[in-house]
Amino acid sequence: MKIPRLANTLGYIDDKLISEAANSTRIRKQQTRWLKWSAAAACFILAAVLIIGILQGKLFGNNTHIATLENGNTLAFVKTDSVGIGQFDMERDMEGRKLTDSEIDLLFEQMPVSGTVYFNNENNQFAALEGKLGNVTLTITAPGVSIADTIIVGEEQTSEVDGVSVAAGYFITRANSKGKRNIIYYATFELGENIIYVEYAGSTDDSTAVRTEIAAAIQDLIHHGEINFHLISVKN
Amino acid sequence: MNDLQIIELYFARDEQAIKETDIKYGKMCFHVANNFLSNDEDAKECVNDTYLSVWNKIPPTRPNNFKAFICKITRNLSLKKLELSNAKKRSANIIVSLSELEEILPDNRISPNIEDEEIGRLISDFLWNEKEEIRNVFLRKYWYFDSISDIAAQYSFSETKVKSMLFRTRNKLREYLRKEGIQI
Repeated sequence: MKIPRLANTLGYIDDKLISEAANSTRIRKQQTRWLKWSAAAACFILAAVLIIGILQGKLFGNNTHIATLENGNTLAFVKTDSVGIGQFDMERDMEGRKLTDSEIDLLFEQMPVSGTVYFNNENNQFAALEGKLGNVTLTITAPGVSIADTIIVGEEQTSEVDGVSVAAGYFITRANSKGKRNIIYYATFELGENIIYVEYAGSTDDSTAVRTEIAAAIQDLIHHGEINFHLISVKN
Repeated sequence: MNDLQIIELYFARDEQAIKETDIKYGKMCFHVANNFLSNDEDAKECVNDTYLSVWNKIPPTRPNNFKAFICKITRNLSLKKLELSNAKKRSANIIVSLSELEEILPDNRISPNIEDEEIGRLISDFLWNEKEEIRNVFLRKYWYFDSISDIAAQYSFSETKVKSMLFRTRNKLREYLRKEGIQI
């Protein structure tokens, strides 16, 4: 039987990773009604703190990267200490399938989008889309479907792009074996009833190009406006 | 007996070292081997080969992480045995897992000048930058070759979520390797 090279190269990974995975487990969190409400309250408080912070100008630091858009708007990316990966919460029962070319035309017109669309098994309604807009990672979630793991430790700042509030930031990874660091730009905003999350990473040496590309993707999405996922159904 | 004491037994060439290794890590080694080989007899043979290999390597090697050291030997021996096995002995889990890995890095025609060890280091860097549960799920699937259902049960995730996490991590790893110069 042919063994792929990746299976062999995985044999050279850090010992610590192997022993960590051998010992690992996860205790499922019991989500109770009060816990959900307290989480919602915490989000509200966090949002209030951020808004107050922005209004008072205290969150504007020297680490902010600015992208200037074609229409003259500026988009501020604030440095954060950690970043999520834009995953939506798939605890509920969902089915996913690839978006077809005709659906991409229908939903996104000329935009180079590809990805997997997920539907809620209970009501066959659109739940989320995970894919790419060009090179930029794109996640779109329906109301009530939360993006998991997008807790940003640090500061967040919102910018107005064609009247849409965009919260954007960036994160720099640890140096790899060659001493290179990657920069991950991300942003989240609402389009109609859906939440959009975009993320794009590259070498810190190319940070301007990376920032420009994600900013252009954000502007394209906002120009396009609300994406009407009611136009597609669970069976394509 | 702790790992340091077992390693000392190997250095003393005391055969009790193998018995103690079996007591402490025998089940784990069998689980790893059986995931690859899906056959109790083959897995037992692989575990015995592991003990022989450990006996031959220690001394002079003094592993810092004995558990990972022995796991790696079992995995390597299992992979070699799997490579030589006939089609009937392959489980659906291993076939699917290997084909998913093949999509990322199929063979030595890709970046032939880069050593496997170097790619291993790159993958380590990639995984250390991932969230703990994501890297552990990835490794349970593609290092230990656990089934989706076993991983879902172990981490209290739905199977759909595990599949989704693996799908995303594979895509990210492919992109990461490409950016690191592994032309895929």
